[in-house]
Amino acid sequence: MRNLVIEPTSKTPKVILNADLGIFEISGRSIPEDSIGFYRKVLDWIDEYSKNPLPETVFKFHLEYFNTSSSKVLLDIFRRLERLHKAGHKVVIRWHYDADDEDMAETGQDYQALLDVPFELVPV
Amino acid sequence: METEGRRKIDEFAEESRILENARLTLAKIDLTPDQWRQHYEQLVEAYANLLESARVLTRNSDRLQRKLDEANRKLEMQNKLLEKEAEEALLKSESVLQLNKRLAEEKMRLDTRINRVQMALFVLIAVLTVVILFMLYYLIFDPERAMRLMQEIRK
Repeated sequence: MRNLVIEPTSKTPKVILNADLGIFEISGRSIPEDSIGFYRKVLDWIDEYSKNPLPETVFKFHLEYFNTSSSKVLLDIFRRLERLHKAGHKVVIRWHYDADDEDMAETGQDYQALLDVPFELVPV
Repeated sequence: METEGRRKIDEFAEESRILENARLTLAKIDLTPDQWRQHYEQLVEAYANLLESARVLTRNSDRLQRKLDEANRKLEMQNKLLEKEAEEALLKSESVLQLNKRLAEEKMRLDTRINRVQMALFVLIAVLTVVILFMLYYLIFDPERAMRLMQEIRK
């Protein structure tokens, strides 16, 4: 399947979804005016990837700031990964956050408590 | 408004779909009790997910608001600090300008005095030169008269 790479802007994060190299990463700032418009391609890519995933999927998130609508879309991404995990595939979500950013750590903890999928908190 | 409304529906597309399915199910009249139960279970599960999501999103939103408030507070503080520093810099520049003005005036006064002294020295040197030239003239061409003049000066 085709890889998806979106370069970051001041309002949107960097996205690398590369099934060939096993790199799944969303990082940076996510405050798009139209979150679903921006993440539609990401959600569609994950849906397509879920049909034939790698033996192990490690999805890295490293966001410095995101708006409320982005947090909803992130939850949709997590739900998709959760479904992949429940379907018997090995999935790990790694939530990277700046070590001094307590809010981002708490956000990760909330997501972790909500989801039934391996969810690692990684302070950097 | 229409765009905003459509955007909201898009972000909750999955939830909207579940609600629409539930409404369609409700309109059906030929379902067996087991089928009703199955639909109801699905609806309960979806509702539980939605409730948990709402909790997480609310907490996220509160954290974002707190972050924004904190950023605004810092910005206001920095603005006040900048305004204060700008005022101080303005006062300093005004005092520097005044000092420069005073120094310029003082320089002008000194220049005038120096010019006067220079002029006086020039006149003095000119007079002395004339006297010396006269003396030399008399010493060379009329030594007797020169001696007489010297004796008169001594008297």
